[in-house]
Parts: sequence; structure tokens; C-alpha cells
Amino acid sequence: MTTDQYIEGELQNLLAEDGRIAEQGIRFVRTGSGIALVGEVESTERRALICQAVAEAFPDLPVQCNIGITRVHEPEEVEEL
Amino acid sequence: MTAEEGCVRVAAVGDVHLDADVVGRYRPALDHLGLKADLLLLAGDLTRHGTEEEARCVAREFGGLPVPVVAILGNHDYHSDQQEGVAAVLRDAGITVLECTGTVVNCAGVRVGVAGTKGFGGGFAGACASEFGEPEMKEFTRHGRELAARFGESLAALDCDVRISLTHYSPVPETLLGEPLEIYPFLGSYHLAQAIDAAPEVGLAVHGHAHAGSERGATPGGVPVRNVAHPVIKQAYNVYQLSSVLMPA
Repeated sequence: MTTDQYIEGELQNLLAEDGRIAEQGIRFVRTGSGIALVGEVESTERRALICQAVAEAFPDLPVQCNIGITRVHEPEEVEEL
Repeated sequence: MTAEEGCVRVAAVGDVHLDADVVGRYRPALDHLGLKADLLLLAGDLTRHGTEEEARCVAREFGGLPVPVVAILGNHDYHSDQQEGVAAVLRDAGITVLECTGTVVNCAGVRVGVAGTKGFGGGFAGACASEFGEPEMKEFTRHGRELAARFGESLAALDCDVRISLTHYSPVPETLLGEPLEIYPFLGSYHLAQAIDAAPEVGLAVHGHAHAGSERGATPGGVPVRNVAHPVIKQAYNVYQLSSVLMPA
């Protein structure tokens, strides 16, 4: 196991177990020397908190935050089963 | 989208993870819910940390709607060991909360039975946990089996025209496609599908939990399964019409 894999493991636990975050739906993609965070959350505040917590825990790790905010528009279609 | 006589339209969403920072976000999309659906199912993970305070946010967001709202809790809703309080807050807001229990909703003369459980992991045929070895492993496996068995009893016992299964964990692997294969045993259990297929007249099985999964699948017995986790459906809720199975005899 490389250092990168250890970091991924720690990141996954951090996002789930940090009381400010409690996210299990964020995934990680390696980007050269750093990592990209991928997924969707419910608010911009939560996205900012995730990026802040990761930066605090791994200050030397280059991080791209590719986390989106899940849309909440009305559905326009019905699926007939 | 207009109501059609004799058809049941089921709105569903899961994994909304409400807290004070997002209260009110869903309300505009819920304004016309009564025109679009006959009932709303909430497939668990309604809160972030499972606190009663967060449950009050859920109550504000999904209480007082023009259609019956039926919910189950998810793993997030158990995180603070306040699940009983969370359920009580939701019930006070008029939301029916199920756990290995069922309810029957009258939708334009069609008796729609909904049975629900959080469910649990354990995995799927050929790659599932067994009650063997350490006590912790036995307990993990047993918990999922017991919930599925009790859920199956509540689903089969419903006196209704059509049944709907409402779980947080997935009954099938198809709706997990997109998630890492390694975590499938933490995302669902085939015992849930077994319980669904053992009951008669099940028209739909709804679940959440798998944020990176896929929307559509089916049980081995042919019951349509839909993953309605919010990041999967990418809108406030989905609507499914049970036209093929719900004509009253």
C-alpha cells in the first residue's frame, strides 16, 4: 500500500467521522501529486466545510474540490412502471 | 403531468440530509406535489447526524403537505442514538414512520400498502456475509437477516391492492452500479429482495443510501427497484406511476 492509499483511507474516515461533515458520499480521484474530491452535497456551506476540513488535516496535499450541490427542482416527468 | 383515474402516482426521495442550513430548500418544489403525486415516500437518511433538532428541520420541510408522507429512517438517522426521538418528531408533524411495520394509504379508491424498514448490509448472492466466526461478524449478519425477515412479514401482512417496499439499504446490486464493488456488502442485502419477492402484488421497491449508484433495477422476481437517493435522481423527488398493477379487482 502506498502513502496515497493511506491518505485516501484517512480522508474517507475523516469525512464520515468529523462531526462537522458526516458525509459518506464523497469519493476521491488521484490527480498527479494531489487528490480531487467528487460527489454532491446539499449546500455550499457543506462543500466549504469539507474542503476546509481536508485542508486542515492534510495541509501539504493539493486538493481539487469538484463537489457539486444537488439540484432540487420539480420533476417534469412520470415513470410508468 | 395530470392525475389519471385509477392510477397511483408515488413520489419518492431519500438521503435529503436536512439540517438548519438547508431548511426551505425543497419547499418550492413541493408546492405542486398534490398535483403530481398521491403520496410521498422518504427513503431514509433524512438528517445528517440523527438528532431531534435536525428532525425538526425535516418536519418543517416535509410536514403539512397535501399528500400522505411515509418515511423510514436511514443509518444517518441512527448516528446520535436518538432514532426514537427523531421518529417521534416526524410523527408529530403528521409523517408516518415505519420500521418493520406497514401502513395502507387510500389513493382514489386503490388501497396502497407500504411496508418499510431501514434494512441493513450483508451483501448479495455469491458475495454475502454469513453468521460464522467472530461474534461481531455473526451480529452484523444476523441484524440484516432479522430486519429483512420482520420486514417481509409486515409487507406480506398488508391488506391492500398493491404493495410498495420502502427501505434505506438496497435489496439488489443493480441499483448500486457506480459504487465501488468493495462496499456492496455495506449498501444492501439480498435478504431484502427475498422478502419482497415472497410477498404478493408488490408493484415497486424504493430505496436510498447509495449516492453514487444507479436508479433502476429489479428483484429476481421482477419487482421494479428504484434508487431514489437525492444525488442519484438529481431533483427534489421522482414520480412513479403504478398503472400496470393497481387496477382494483
